[in-house]
Amino acid sequence: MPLTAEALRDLESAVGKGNVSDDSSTCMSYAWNAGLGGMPKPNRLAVVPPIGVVLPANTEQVQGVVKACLKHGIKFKPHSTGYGSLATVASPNAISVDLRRMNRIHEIDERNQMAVIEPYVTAGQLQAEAMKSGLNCHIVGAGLTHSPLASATACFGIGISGTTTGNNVRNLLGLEWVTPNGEILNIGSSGSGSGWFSGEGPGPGFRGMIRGITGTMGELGIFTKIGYKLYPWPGPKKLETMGKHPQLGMRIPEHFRLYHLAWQSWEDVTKASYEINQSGVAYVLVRIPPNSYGMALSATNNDYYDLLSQGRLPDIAKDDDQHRMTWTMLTAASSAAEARYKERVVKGILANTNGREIALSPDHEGLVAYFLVTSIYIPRVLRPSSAMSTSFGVLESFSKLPEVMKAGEVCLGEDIKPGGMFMQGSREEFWSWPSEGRHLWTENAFSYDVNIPESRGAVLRMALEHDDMVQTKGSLGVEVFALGPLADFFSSASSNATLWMRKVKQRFDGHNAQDAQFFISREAPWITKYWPFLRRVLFLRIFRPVFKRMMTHFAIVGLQALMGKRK
Amino acid sequence: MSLETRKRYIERCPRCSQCKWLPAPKSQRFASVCPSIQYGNFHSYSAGGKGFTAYAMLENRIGYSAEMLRSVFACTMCGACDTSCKTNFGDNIEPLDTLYELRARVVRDGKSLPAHVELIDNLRRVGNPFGKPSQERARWAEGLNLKDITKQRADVFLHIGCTPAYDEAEWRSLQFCAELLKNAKVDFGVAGNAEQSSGGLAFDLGFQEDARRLAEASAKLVVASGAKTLVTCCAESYAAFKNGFPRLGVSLGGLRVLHITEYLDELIRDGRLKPRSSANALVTYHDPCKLGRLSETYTPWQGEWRRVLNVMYIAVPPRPVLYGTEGNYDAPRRLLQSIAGVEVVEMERSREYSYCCGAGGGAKEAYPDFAEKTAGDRLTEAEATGASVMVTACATCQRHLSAVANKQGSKLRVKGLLEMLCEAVV
Repeated sequence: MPLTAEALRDLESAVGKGNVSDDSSTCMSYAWNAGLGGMPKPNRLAVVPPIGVVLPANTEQVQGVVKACLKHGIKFKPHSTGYGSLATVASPNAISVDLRRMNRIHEIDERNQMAVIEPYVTAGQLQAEAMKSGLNCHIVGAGLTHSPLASATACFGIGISGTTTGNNVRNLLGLEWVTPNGEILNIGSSGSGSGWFSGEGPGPGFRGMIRGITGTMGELGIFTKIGYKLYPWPGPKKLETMGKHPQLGMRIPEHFRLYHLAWQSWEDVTKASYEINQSGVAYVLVRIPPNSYGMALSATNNDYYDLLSQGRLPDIAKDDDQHRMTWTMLTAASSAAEARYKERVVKGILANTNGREIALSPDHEGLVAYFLVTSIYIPRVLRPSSAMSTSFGVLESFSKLPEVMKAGEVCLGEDIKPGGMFMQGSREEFWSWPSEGRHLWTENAFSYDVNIPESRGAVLRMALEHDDMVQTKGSLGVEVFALGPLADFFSSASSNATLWMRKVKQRFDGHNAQDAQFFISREAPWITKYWPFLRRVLFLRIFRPVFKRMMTHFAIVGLQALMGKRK
Repeated sequence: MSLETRKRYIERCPRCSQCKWLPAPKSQRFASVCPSIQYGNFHSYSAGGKGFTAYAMLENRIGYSAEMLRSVFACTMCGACDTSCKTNFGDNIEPLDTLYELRARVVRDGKSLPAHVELIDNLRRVGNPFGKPSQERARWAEGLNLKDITKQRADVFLHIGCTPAYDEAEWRSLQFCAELLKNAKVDFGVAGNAEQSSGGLAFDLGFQEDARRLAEASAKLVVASGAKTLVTCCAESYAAFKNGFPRLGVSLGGLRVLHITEYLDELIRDGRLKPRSSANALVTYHDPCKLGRLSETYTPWQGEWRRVLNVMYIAVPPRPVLYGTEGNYDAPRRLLQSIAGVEVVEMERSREYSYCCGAGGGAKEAYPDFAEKTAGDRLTEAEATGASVMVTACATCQRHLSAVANKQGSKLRVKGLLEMLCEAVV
């Protein structure tokens, strides 16, 4: 159903001529199914492209767009930088609201360590500007091109520098929101006109309700401006790079030091984690799976394969028991004395926990340090096949680390071995760090091949099996990637949170104006009713071959065949 | 190559938008690398978006429209997207190759823009895009008594290029350059009116057959001269010789190819030329795309993508990957620094990350507002350095940036590198 002439006119009057398009090529460029959020299905172009695209320049224009949509019965889905495929529409009568023209950094408040930003400010831009003021920002796994606003308001945003830069669920301060009903609401301190410094108040404080932990993936209104936490950056105002594109490294600032530390068991890693966190010496503390370091230290797949097949991988990229149980740590100090102190602490922790330091070449040191500070090379996890998925995302106590690592190995199981359906990478593929310097965040990321039905099927199977494992075992922490119908399937593991999510959705999206692809739908899918019975059968060992075939089938025909078409 | 062969590359795009941005920006203001998306705003203007357009064409999901053509051609083909994309994805996607093939497909489908058809008509008729008589190409050299390399042998084939040859403002620099070479006792010759476009513009516009015909004619002229070294004063031709000709299967027979800046740099370093003082000036250098990232030597590859480690794809045999880093960046800077009293200050986007001037790829002719906005953005960046002079080594960039600087009332003076040297070298 194309946009009617009247709808087009109303949208143009909201955002100005030239900022609305219903041209098929323009619309199709917003219908890409790949990368982060890409569905494991054969087609790269979505079956349902948006029927129009609008480019509002400010909050009032966003409101105008929403009101025009409500008037004409059009659904809408906003996006900031539009990373991956999380921003694609699912309904046949939906428009895409591209917030590209809303790209202002309103303020960097050096003394109060915060910024006020719009949706299209990228993490790379914000970091560059913040560093000029001695501050730094959190950068989620999507890397430098993602939108901190989108991550903080509508996704589960979490990144490798979380030791000192928190996570975006909690970096969100005051916020401005255009609801699905077209109201402009200011939440937290911005709601009382007292600034953007707090998400809870003074002013209306329902930040948690409209984002929860997973976020609404752009399917509950449009967030247009936020207050956003920044953190102290003791390094230079501009990072000095070295090396050659695309293998750029950073000249490690004076009094900074990079360590790559290894242990012989996850139990020792856990013990060391507590000591490091308590000591507060780490600026960045992260465990990156060895093969992902292999990706970072190579510019192409061929380069990586050559290193691997010729046995020339550096220690940091080796997935053997000597090298895979690691933390990489960047310490930052303001003086030589502080740097010496931190060095002594690190050495003491290593001695206490049977750890050792693995030396890196100077080139690799610079490259890894740059990676840790900017997150620049994280998207390389997508390089092997351009399709990745995740089975685990866990926020928990560090005491769970050994168990989670084991569960990750079990989950990836045969599929990560030769002849399997996933990339032969590191055996559990976990990226881990202490979020906010305290609790464990760990998530695995593995490559699959979108062109092979069995590989796509394995991803579907993995998602269900893993969620079932979390729910059944009840000891693997909080699953934060239960998006869309998965949230309904496994709601009981999170105290039936979907009941409340659905109430929120129904209350704020009274006109059912927004797509519901990743966030919860207004009504539960029909299959949810039968899920308790199905799951008892699906995960039986004897049923596994049938389960695998079923998932491959749905990977071919598409999940909509299972879930029913969206209205 | 064809657009069909690009499909597997487009499929590798994860829509990360890195093609729009510097790999590691130094500020918000100058974080963009893509003039096209800065102008058009819709995702279809980005390299990734253009890839999706190409993909949708191949899947018969879209047809031609004015807006589609605008998103394809309001683009300078500067290649910054390609460099940025390779930050994380190596040779997986290579968006610039897709843009070349998308334009070629548009041409084959007879949907070229009228402004581009006019340029091609001129190239076919008189061998230059301006429609000026081929007999006037060598007017700049009148009275200089230069060796005609089509009749006499010389060690160095001095190639001039269309813009320098027909732009009278460039003639003084060309004449001075010829004098310098004479003073340095270089045995060189020029082809005069026999020279014609090397086909770089035709290739960028998507007219690959015209590009091949022009490239073959240029190669024939150069090879027949027996010269050992080809030195060009034209950045566009430099890129064509090194990168475009191999794409078109045209060979220069192993001739050494240099840009005039590289050759003069060599002469200075060999002590055959000596710079003298010039007026004090704080200068910023604009890296022309054609002299920089687009001038890397292209090596054709034929092979297959093989699946290893269950799902990872590698090229068999391995293929050379162009990252933009091997362009001609140092020689122009060394030449500038060789002039006493000149201090060079870098813009945030320089070398392989340089921001385009807006004139290339037929953009200026088809969408002058786009070309002007892009030049304006680049001038703003140059002004932010505090420099009073912006120097470039491409006549097309210089002409365009200078015109926009005048129009927008910029205080910045835009100069050619040869012009700067002209005032400083004896």
